[in-house]
Amino acid sequence: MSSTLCVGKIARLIALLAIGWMVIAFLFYPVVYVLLDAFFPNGQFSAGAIERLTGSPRVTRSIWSTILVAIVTVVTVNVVGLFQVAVLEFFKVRLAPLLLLAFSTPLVFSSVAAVSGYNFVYSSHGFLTKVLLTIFPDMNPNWFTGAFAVIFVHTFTMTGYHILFVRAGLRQIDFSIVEAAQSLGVSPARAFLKIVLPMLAPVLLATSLLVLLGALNSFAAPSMLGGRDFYMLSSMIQSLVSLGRTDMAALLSLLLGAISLMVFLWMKRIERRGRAISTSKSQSPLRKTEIRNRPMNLAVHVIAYLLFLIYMAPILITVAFSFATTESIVQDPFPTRFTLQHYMTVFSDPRAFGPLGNSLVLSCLAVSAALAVSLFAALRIRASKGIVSDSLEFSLFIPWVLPSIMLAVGLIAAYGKPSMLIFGASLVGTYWLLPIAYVIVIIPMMVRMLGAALAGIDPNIDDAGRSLGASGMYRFTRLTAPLLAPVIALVAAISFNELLSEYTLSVFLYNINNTPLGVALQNAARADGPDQIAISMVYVVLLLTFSLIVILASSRLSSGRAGRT
Amino acid sequence: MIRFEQVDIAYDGKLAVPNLSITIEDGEFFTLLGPSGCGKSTILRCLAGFVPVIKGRILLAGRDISRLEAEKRGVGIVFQNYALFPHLTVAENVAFGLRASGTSKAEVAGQVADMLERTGISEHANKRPAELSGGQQQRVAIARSLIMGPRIMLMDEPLSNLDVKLRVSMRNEIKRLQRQLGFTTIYVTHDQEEALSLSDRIAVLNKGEVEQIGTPEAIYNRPETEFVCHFIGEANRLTPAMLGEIRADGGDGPAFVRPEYMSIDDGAPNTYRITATVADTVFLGNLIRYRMQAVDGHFDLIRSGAAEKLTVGSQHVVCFPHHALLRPAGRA
Repeated sequence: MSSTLCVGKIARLIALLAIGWMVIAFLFYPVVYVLLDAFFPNGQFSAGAIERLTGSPRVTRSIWSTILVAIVTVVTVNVVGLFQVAVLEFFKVRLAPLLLLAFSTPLVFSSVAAVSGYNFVYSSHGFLTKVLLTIFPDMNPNWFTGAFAVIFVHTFTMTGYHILFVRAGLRQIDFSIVEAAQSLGVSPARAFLKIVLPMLAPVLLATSLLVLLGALNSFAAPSMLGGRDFYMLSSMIQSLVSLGRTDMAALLSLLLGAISLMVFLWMKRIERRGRAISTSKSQSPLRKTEIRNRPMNLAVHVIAYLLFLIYMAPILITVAFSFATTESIVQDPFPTRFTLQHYMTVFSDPRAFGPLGNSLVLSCLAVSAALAVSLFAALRIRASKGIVSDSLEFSLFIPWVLPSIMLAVGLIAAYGKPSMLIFGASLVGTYWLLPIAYVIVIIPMMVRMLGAALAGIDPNIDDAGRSLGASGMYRFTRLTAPLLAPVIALVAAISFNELLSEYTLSVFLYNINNTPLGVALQNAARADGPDQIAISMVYVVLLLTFSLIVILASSRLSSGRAGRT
Repeated sequence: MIRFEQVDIAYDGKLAVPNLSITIEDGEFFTLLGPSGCGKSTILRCLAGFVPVIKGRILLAGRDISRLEAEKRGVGIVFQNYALFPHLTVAENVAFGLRASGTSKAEVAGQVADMLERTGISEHANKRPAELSGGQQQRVAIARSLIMGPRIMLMDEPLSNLDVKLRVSMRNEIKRLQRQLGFTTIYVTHDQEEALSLSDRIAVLNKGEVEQIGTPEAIYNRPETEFVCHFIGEANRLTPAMLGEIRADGGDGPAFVRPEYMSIDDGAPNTYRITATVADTVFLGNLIRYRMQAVDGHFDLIRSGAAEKLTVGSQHVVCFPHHALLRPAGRA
């Protein structure tokens, strides 16, 4: 008995040390290295990178572009998002369930897949451009590019937070407050502006900061739609890395990290301050009100259906053309000739399957490793409080705040040459750099969800096992693990889904042996060959399908769990 | 004057109140009283414009308001949960309606100060609703509606969230304001004590239908239906044997007596008498409730705690005056 106890202790210590090494080698060291690279390029302090950056009009422009695009995105996303929430929950609008379907698409259709989808509609060879060219032959086919295109795609891919959080916030409002305003002579539409919106202010602010964070760190949109002259911080950093200017890239990523951290801390402050407390003891549920002003009602309906089209077009066009023949893709605005060839190519031609296969393998590897680390960490954090657990928890949450780009630049800077920390190896240009980065970025979500699930397990269950004489490992495998299993499956599926379409780390850290889906989609967006476009449409459809399955499974699982407790 | 003319009201797609006809006079304190689910709040919300009229019409000072939007009816309402705007201060809550109607800032400030003064919440003007007690929130809700100078105030169980002591003091407060400002009040409650103490007239509702409309005294002393007789106050239903013993006049319908009218026989004239045995006693502080067993049933007798105690098992002749016999003729 005592010898098994001892072995267990040693195993746990080794695991803890391994995680400690991982955190230091792949999180702290790269971040510190970014600082060193930026300010101490040759072991001595130098402001050279700062001077070069401030001296470069392109870099300065990219900083201003980033700030401008981020701010405009926050405004446009709020306008569109609030409109959506209002027509879904507050006003009577016909076909609201269909609108809900369309407005929920950003939850499954985001990042590189969404940017590709929008590209299929609006780019020079996109559906809408083809239609417009038949009407206006002289128009510029490359009209969908630059800041406008980036803001457009941001606007319609970042409203997911509104559908999740602002909508929930609105549903919690006591409807008698709206009726009270009405009894004081205010119409429902005005009550929405004067009473409901101010009451939503805290959740709107928090949502806006999430959007701001997303827009500041946005990479897929500017790199795929920015065109030749438009750079945001992220795409500028990529360009600097590809030019070998890691010191300048490091400094810029530090700037991005600092801005993101400030936004993050601001968000935490709001979270802590809480929301305006309603004094209502009994709530009357929200009821939809009719817009009685007829022109206004008509306008609201028209805008709502227009938004429906904007949201659904990229998905419908991508799905439809993924089944169209190559000739049809080139010639038709609407697909007329259909084939399953592209799907067969993706699953049979090694070159076409390559990126999909790579992403599947990389995601599997990363999810398994991250799951092992997160499970151990979550159990350890729960089992004992103290400096080790606290610093473990703190360290593993850092990637949450850290922009992926900063991590990528740090890894490139730190492991471009052999390093003692990884036993004299160098990682840049190897297969392993990308999966390691994947592991680091998905750990915070995993630890958080597993931690929450563990906290939900009745501690008496473990005590009961203990009183029956079961050992720690036995209790874990027979009691804790089966209770956690649904959450583990869910966490794995969500992470897997995220990594399949991961873009930022992929672009920075891939090499020719592990080119992932995100990079393949980016390449396809720049290519003009109809075959490659067709293949990338199949990729997007597959990503979308997988996301949809994961979302549906997770909502089923969470509602099932709620039903059981 | 408010008139409901053969109004049908649906709630959640079901006919909740069929064929309602009521007339409420100006300046009257009119209460809709009934058990939960009887449709009283639905009637109130229909008058406020939140629930549509299916059939019939509602006249306000002769004008048909059945299809008028809620915000144009000029009817004040105090909600059960007060529905205060949580993000606005007390003064801003009270000023809301005036500001929305475009009243000048100076005028709003003056009126708000005056209204806060009248409702006794001036010192809380700059607080948010969450910082106030239940009674203070209640006053804000009333002030917010009153400032619009409504001819009609609707109150939907406004005291139900308060503790007993506060409820009584707010009750007096509401009555004082109503007398002082002279607005017509339509008050919804399921609490008969509240209804009896506040109202000029009461409409007792059951399953969406009006059982009886009358002054509190009439409702209590001359209930027209068995439901009203039971719902308002307590009533002993007299069994056939008891009725046979007292040989009461008038009809075959059910007969009732309120327990406080019953006493131990002291030979007073014009009384009915029943012989019964003390089966149980319940101590209520100032009163004692005796459960009396007669030949084929039992009834309650309530006596002052100061009176001589009756022992369990002792037999007594219980009497009550002729006028205390209730014979509700209407529906059961």
